[in-house]
Amino acid sequence: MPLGEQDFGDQYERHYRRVFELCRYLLNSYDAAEDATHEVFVRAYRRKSTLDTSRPVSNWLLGIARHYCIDVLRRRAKDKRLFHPEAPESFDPPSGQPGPLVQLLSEEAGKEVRKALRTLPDKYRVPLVLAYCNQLSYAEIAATLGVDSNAVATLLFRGKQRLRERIEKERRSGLSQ
Amino acid sequence: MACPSEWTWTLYVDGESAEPECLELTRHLDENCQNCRELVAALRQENRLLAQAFAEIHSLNEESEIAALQGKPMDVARVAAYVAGLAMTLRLGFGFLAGLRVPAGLDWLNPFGLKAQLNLVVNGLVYVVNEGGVMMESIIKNGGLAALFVLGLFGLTASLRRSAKTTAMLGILVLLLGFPASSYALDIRSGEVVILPAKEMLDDTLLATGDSVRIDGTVTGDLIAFARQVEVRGNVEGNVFASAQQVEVSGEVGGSILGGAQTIRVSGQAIRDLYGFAQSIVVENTGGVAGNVTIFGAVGSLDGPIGRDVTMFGGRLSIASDIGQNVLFKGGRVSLGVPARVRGNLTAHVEAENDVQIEPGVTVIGQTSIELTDPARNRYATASFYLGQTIGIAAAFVTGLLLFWLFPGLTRVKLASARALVMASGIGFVTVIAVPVAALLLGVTLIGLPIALTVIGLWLVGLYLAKIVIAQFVGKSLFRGQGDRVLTIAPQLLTGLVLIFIAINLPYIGSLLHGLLIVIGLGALVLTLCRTGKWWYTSPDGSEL
Repeated sequence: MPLGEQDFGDQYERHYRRVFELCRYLLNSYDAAEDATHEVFVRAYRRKSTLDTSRPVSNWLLGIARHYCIDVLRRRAKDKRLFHPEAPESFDPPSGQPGPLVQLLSEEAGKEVRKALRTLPDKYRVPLVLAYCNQLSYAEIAATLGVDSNAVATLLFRGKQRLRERIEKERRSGLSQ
Repeated sequence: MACPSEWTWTLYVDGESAEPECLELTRHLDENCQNCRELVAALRQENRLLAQAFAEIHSLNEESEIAALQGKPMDVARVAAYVAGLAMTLRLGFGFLAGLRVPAGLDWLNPFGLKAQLNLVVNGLVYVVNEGGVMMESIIKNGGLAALFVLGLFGLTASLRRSAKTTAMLGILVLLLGFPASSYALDIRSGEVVILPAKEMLDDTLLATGDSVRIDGTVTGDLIAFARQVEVRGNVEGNVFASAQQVEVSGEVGGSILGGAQTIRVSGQAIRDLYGFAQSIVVENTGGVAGNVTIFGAVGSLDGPIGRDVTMFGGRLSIASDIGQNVLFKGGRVSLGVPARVRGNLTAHVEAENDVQIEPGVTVIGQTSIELTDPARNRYATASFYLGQTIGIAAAFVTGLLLFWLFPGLTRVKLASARALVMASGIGFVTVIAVPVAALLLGVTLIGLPIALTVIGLWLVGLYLAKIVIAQFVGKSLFRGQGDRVLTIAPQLLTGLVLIFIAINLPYIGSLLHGLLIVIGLGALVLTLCRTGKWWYTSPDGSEL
């Protein structure tokens, strides 16, 4: 049964924030997220007759948001192969990289992670957001980004490494002050 | 089995290892490899931390985190500081320049003097009209060639793939190839000296530009003249539109005279009205105007008969002739000398009673009314000022609601950075200057005239809407971060309008602020239209208002 006008309005009220937050983390900009959220709901409104209301509406909206934001990032990027890591198949990470986050984080772990996440380039930030905010599998992330699962694994691995480096650097600069 | 790398364990923890490998890795952990167990536990904890970090965002207000990392987008305070600072600088600059003493003989150089300003306007108009056609043709020619080349290149590279874009480009190419040559509806004459000889009759409207334009013959249509000196010694059966340093009409004009000049002198006859925007307007005793005379200028001198009303807004008016109906004067001083005769009422708005001098022997048949204006009156102390502003805000509010209801995309005007603000200012400034000039150039062609009028109309509408757009930006910025749900447009717009109207009525810098806000608003409007291209979107629930 398709969504009626009133129902859509209710869904807008209920899911606006969540869609906005996803857009914000994917696009790494408050203003861009506002525009993107608006566009997501416009697209959703146009397609509301195709929605299967037996499934969660939030997943549908977040799916539209994901695809829209990835398109925006691709258009924004000069290199169209935005989410292609350099050598996914032969990737063998060197030793000596910072260990997992648990060793680095303080009590304000969430805040530190979010702060460091925003400093990551799109290439690493977006897969992390899709994996940990949207809880997508490698295959689902690969389908969204238009790459293969190996590339997703590489991007997530490197993304987490970069995240650790940023947090460690932030921690060191905080201690030295 | 040797200890696997962190990469392998990461895939294992994420559940992405292939099944045979997964079994092997599990066996390795069961063999009590302490290092690997600790690593796997840490990786799992890391995943939980990352998931938790995102789960927390729905319950926190993180605006401060965003602002701290994203380089602080331009907020209302900064925009206000930028605009106010610029207005103050301009005001001080203008004040300094206006205060400079210029020798009397060089007064024409003083940019703040009426003489120099009129010179500038006239010279500018003459230049544009003289050279504008050539400029426009050159731009169109060169632009057309460049566009043809680019389109040809695109067409060549895209020729194997048929797409809507290729089709559109080819269509534009065809249009450019068939671009019509310019055509004129008027008789256009230009040169250093443009003369219509005495025995010549021009059965059309004449557009004349040059250094000097002299009509000794007859023009059956209108005369439109832009020159340093315009003389009508012959006969113009239609109207005379003249912009010059000096306009002299010693012949006969069947229609009205509309002149913008330093001096307008009428020693001939105008069958209809005279509208003068000039430093000095003189109707000689050998001349006359059968209709109304309306003067915006410094000095008006009417020695010839005027058939109907005389209205002047300016410095000094002297009347020594027969006026068919009423005289209305607002300005410095009005004097009526013998043999002046006013057949209607005489109304003068002056600062003092002795600014109205009526010599004995002058007849005013109707009523003589002298209304004193208080020069030192403070507009802020009058109720009418506040009433006017309230009406202005209400009108802008209603217009704004209608505008954003029709075009909701326009609510997303962004001035997110200093760069965007400067860009909006630049684009707005160019739009304010370039659009009327382009319309003027378009207006000389047959197909261009309606386009020119439409463009000017849209430009004027844009100037009005610019303030509304900037008011909505101000209001929206002030209400930003006030909770999860953005407030409806009405309170944002009203708040912004009130603040804008306060700003443009500030003493000393109010008028400059007004100009700057219009420029920035117009630039932001143009940028938004170009950036989104979808300003006609309606909101999903239709309830943005």
